[in-house]
Amino acid sequence: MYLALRELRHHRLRSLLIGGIVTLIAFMVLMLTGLTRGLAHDNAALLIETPATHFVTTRDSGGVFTRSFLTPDTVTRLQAVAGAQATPLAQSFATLSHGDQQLSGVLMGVQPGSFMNPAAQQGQPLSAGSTGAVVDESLREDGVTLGDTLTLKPGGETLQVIGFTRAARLNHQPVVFVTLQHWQTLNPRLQGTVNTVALNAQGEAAALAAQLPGVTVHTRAAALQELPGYREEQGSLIMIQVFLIVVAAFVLAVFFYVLTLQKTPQFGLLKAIGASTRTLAGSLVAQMMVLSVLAVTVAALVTLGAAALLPAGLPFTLTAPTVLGASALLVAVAALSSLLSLGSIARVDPLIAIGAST
Amino acid sequence: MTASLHTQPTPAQPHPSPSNPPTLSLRAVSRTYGDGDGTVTALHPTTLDVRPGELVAVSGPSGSGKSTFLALAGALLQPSTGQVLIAGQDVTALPAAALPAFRLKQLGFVLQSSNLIPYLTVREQLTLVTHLTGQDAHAGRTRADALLRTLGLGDRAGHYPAALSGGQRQRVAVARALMNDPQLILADEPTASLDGPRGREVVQMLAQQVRERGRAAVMVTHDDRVLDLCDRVLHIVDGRLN
Ligand SMILES: Nc1ncnc2c1ncn2[C@@H]1O[C@H](COP(=O)(O)OP(=O)(O)OP(=O)(O)O)[C@@H](O)[C@H]1O
Ligand SMILES: [Mg+2]
Repeated sequence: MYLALRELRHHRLRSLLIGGIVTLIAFMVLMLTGLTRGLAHDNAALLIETPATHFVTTRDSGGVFTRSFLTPDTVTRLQAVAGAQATPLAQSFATLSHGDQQLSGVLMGVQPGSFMNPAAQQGQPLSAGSTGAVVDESLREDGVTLGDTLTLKPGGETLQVIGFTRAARLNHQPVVFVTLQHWQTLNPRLQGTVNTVALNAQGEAAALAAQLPGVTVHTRAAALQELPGYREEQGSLIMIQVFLIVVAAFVLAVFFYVLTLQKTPQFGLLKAIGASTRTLAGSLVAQMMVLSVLAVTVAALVTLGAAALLPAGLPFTLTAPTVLGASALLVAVAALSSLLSLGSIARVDPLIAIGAST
Repeated sequence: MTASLHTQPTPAQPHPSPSNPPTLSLRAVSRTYGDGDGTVTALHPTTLDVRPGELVAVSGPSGSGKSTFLALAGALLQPSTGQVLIAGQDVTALPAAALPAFRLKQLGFVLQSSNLIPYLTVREQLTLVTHLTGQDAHAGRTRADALLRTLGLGDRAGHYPAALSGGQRQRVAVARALMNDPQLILADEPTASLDGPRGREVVQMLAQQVRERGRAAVMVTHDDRVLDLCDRVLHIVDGRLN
């Protein structure tokens, strides 16, 4: 630290410049993390925050709910295996009119007594025999309030909004929950089939369910990946983040490597005086750590500030653990990138201090 | 043991007391580079003692082996044959990993140039040594300031090397070499970048410190104008020292 801090302080502009680059990259990584998480939530909060651990679909559907149709018989057998840990879900896309505006949504049928019945943040949850709807809170932004009537197009059936729930989005659309029974009267063409059965069970029940003919059990995470468009959307964002982190590692590694090569005579002198390779290497790692910790801290603060300024409609989710995790990753990458220079420090021969010039 | 030292025959030297054991002792030390046909003998087998209080100059033409000699004496290079003893320790027997700590404790270096660390102040150049040895920072500061005053640099303690003249820089280097109170000081053309009077000043200072502290010093130099300040002048030609 004796050498590390003094050098950073003496070459203030140089330290600021490299620190600035790392700050910018860290800022981009954190903003993209927020966007990635935000988009994931906007796309599929329902599958991200659900209490369900597994989803059962027909084998031929490949895990896509809208392609899977489970007969009432299969549902009964699943429930015989898993009991209350299994509950059917039915899903269809719907266009709803609210006053003179048209809204899109996912109409989802759930059993009122089950673990998939959404808790109402405002208003009432669904109960048996209810003909109302519990809708995602994002519909508030479209002006929907408690007690409003939504009209299903084009049939004209009406649903009264009896509650708002959170984290209920699927396919980038708000979910409109109704009772399964009500859903089936609204969708008679599906003849009592459902799209999936959610399981809230570890291991055994899921294994038993998987033995039923014609069905496949997907973990929650796998079902999320099968959601149309989800993997592609997340994949491209995550790829950009990985690129940014690689760029950060590369910039730091090359910067310090070039500096180390330039300072070879100085390292020779220090070694001749009696500094060990370990002292010099420690000094370099310390510089790397000081720079990257400061840069990442600044970037995290700027990101949190910027997040507050983002327009409300922009999907952006950044929690403290996510920020800490991404920051720790960046600092670890910075530490790793010092490895490139450590080798050349170790190779400096103190002999060069003698007769090195002229 | 003391008795045998008293009876040991030593060449008559004006300054050093013959009763002291040598600080630096080369015993049939040679160094060759390369192998097979391309072998170069940079230093032919050389035996030499440098005693406490003695400043020895080594001069010779370019390529004669001065740097090789200094590197061997400074535990920076292993000899091809022979033994190098510094302060009674056979450094050729030490493992390579122990050498930095040994140099830190027993040796002081004054080098030709790029001698100071650009981002440390004059005082920090000196306290770096105490920092490396893990000594108390306050004591290091006190000692550094005392040394700087002795060498006439008291008012430059807070300056960076870039703000010093060449002569001042070399005096700082001498001060740093004295910081760990080493047994042996090795100087590599310390006057090369200085004009005559400045160069003499630096060597005078080195000679004075060596005598006052009873330390030994070896200085490689091209500069004939400072040879009269040294106790002994050795000439090296084609790797042969005499
Ligand atoms: N690493 C090496 N490999 C091969 N030969 C070397 C090496 N180092 C030095 N030599 C050779 O050893 C001889 C002595 O070199 P040395 O550097 O000790 O000379 P010098 O007296 O310091 O010269 P100068 O005054 O030019 O610095 C030279 O012939 C040189 O070519
Ligand atoms: Mg040389």
